[in-house]
Amino acid sequence: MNSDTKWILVLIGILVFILLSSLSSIIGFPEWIQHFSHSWLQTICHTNPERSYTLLGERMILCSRCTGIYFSFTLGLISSFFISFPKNLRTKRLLFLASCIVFMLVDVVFDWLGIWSNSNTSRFLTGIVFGLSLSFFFFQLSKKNGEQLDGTKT
Amino acid sequence: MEQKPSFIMPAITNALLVGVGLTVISLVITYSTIGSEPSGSMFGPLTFMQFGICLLGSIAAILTVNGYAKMDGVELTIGNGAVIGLITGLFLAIVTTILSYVWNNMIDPSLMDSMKNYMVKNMELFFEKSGAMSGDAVDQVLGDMEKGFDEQKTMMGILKGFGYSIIGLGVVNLISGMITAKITAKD
Repeated sequence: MNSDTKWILVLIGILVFILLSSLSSIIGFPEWIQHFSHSWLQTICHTNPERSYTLLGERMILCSRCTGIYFSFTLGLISSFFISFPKNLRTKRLLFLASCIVFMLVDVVFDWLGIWSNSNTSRFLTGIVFGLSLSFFFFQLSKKNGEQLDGTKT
Repeated sequence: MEQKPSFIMPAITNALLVGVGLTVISLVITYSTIGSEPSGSMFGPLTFMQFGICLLGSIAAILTVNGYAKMDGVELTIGNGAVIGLITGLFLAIVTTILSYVWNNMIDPSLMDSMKNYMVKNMELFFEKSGAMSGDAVDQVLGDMEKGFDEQKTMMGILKGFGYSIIGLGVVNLISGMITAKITAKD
């Protein structure tokens, strides 16, 4: 296992920790873990209950957008072990990330200005796309489709 | 074996720069909000501030990793990016905690009370408008909120806040450090 693979696994571990923290009341973790999860997740998300999904009658702590971001980022990172990108897509990943940020900002700003009213679904979808665009940076690059480069260096 | 240059000084410098910037932004938002009338909305600038500041804090790792990648003899892996990001996030948590302690205890000790009063009034308005809770439940929520603000002024509250900042800023800077290492990596 090379160093990059180990660090991608560490990152997946951190993202799973974030998602499990968000699900702490649904999973039924002890009260102190739920309190700790709520307190620390407030540093990365507004955690407004009106904008969170409900599962099995309990609210998730993360909002729908952050849930989308961390969920798709995790899935994207797991897929990076099995899928490689053609090398000519390298620069396009940055463009795709920038487009996703603009897409998300449009959803936020238009709602704020009253031009458009966003919903949990639109927030979740923009989050999903943004999370995926982040994970694309960790995909292996191949010269052609299917031809792997040495993965020991970034 | 060739030794890599240290990233500690750039990490401290960027943490200081970003920390001062974030503190200024949060103070501007706080003063402009408490100077206005409460709207009764759950989704005001103060709600956005805490996590917005943390997400903006990820810039510190981007700056440090980007600067480090340009140094001579540096070949970055995502592991380097993660470690640099994590350390930068730690320094940033220290800087923002110290600056907020100095401001809240030495420069304007009344700020926390003004914020508490604003937030309590805002929540009262919110419950009045929504009518979702009974009188006792509202009193309980408002009482908890006041207790939370009072706790933030104690040494235990400050240490807890520092701990949460380390986790939040550590995580976002670790992620942004890894992504920046990937973006800046040479072929």
